[in-house]
Amino acid sequence: MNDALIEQLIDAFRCLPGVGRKSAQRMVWHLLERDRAGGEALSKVLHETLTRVGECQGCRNFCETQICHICADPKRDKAQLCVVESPADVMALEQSGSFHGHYFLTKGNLSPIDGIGPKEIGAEALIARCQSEVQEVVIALDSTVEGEATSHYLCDRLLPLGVVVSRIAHGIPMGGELEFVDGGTLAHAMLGRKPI
Amino acid sequence: MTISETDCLTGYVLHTRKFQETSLLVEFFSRDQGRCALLFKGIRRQQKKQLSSRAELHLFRKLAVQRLSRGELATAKVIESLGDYVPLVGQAAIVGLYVNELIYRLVGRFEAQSALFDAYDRLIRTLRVTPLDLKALRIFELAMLAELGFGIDFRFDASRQTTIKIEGQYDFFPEQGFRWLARPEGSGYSGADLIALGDGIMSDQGAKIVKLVVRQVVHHLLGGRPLKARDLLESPQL
Repeated sequence: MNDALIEQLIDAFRCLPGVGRKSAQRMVWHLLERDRAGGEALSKVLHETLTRVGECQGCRNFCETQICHICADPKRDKAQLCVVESPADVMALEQSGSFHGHYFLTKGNLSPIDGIGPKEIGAEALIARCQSEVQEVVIALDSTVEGEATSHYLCDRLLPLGVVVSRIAHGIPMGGELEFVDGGTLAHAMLGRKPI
Repeated sequence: MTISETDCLTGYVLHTRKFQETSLLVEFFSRDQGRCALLFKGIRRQQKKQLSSRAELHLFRKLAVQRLSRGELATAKVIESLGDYVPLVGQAAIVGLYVNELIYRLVGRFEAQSALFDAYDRLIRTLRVTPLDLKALRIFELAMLAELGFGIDFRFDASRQTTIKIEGQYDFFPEQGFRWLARPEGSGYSGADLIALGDGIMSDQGAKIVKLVVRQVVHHLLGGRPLKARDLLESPQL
């Protein structure tokens, strides 16, 4: 049996996804035996981050200031707004270098069983954001039924504002082989075909 | 290992939730075993074969799955998807989410509901072809309440213990049914519309009545806790 503090720390590490008791124990022994300075730095930066990082008032991404660096960047195209689910999606699109507008995060897709409705995805904040300057809203949500329902709901609310609403294409991934693609994806790809 | 008939389930995915790093926890609505929780291990791994299996676990897709263990939470794997997969899109997807929430919250686990399953199956197939067929939704709602033991009798006047009269006006109470209104004052449901519904005729007016009445019954059954999907159904006819 470990001391109370050690047990507390093991339990605390278990709040991380994919970390069970064994992994948490390994992390604690590592910090205590080999890297106490690293542990102190981790504790300090963790505390600072949780205290100071909030939500951007423009896009709902995490940031230290009221407005994140993407929303504050004057070089970005204010006429285009891309709706994504999570900060990881923003990062993926930024790394692709294919989009130079602004973002809006829903932080989830509509899922009544999970208790996620229009309020939780920030529908009203998105509509308020589209009242000025935004000319096109690009919806880049998951290719699932929940993502489809969310896209349809947002589209219904945005179209009356006079903005163009588009959705990213769905279909065969780059380098994908047709024989391994499921029927649903193939059906989507066939429906979304375009002339070349 | 041989696969017994009880290990194979035919049904639809009602809801999925990520479980640990690579697995998916699925609420499954099957014809023979009712609503049950299934765990699909390793299905979220980034491999071609698993990606294909995971795509099959979309909502509103009819599947055959095999249970690999017993108990409250059985592990399972996809055998095959059944029939053509035409996804529900737009408004139909929202109606589908509403129906899934109804089943999730009103149907108990492991209660075989083959008639309800068939009604659900019919509704999903109808919504694929005609996404705004709200009469089909209303027919499903009535069938669901009847299967759960809360069927609505559109022919019976609970206040006077007699049949509904064509010239009468009636109010509805979830625990009692339709009651005659002595002083209608422009409110209530017309006896003629209720008799038509009792005869199985779903007119536009009848569909509006069913919507209001079902809403009251569901509200009662859920003990006043609201359905989250209601927030999505903003269109007046939904």
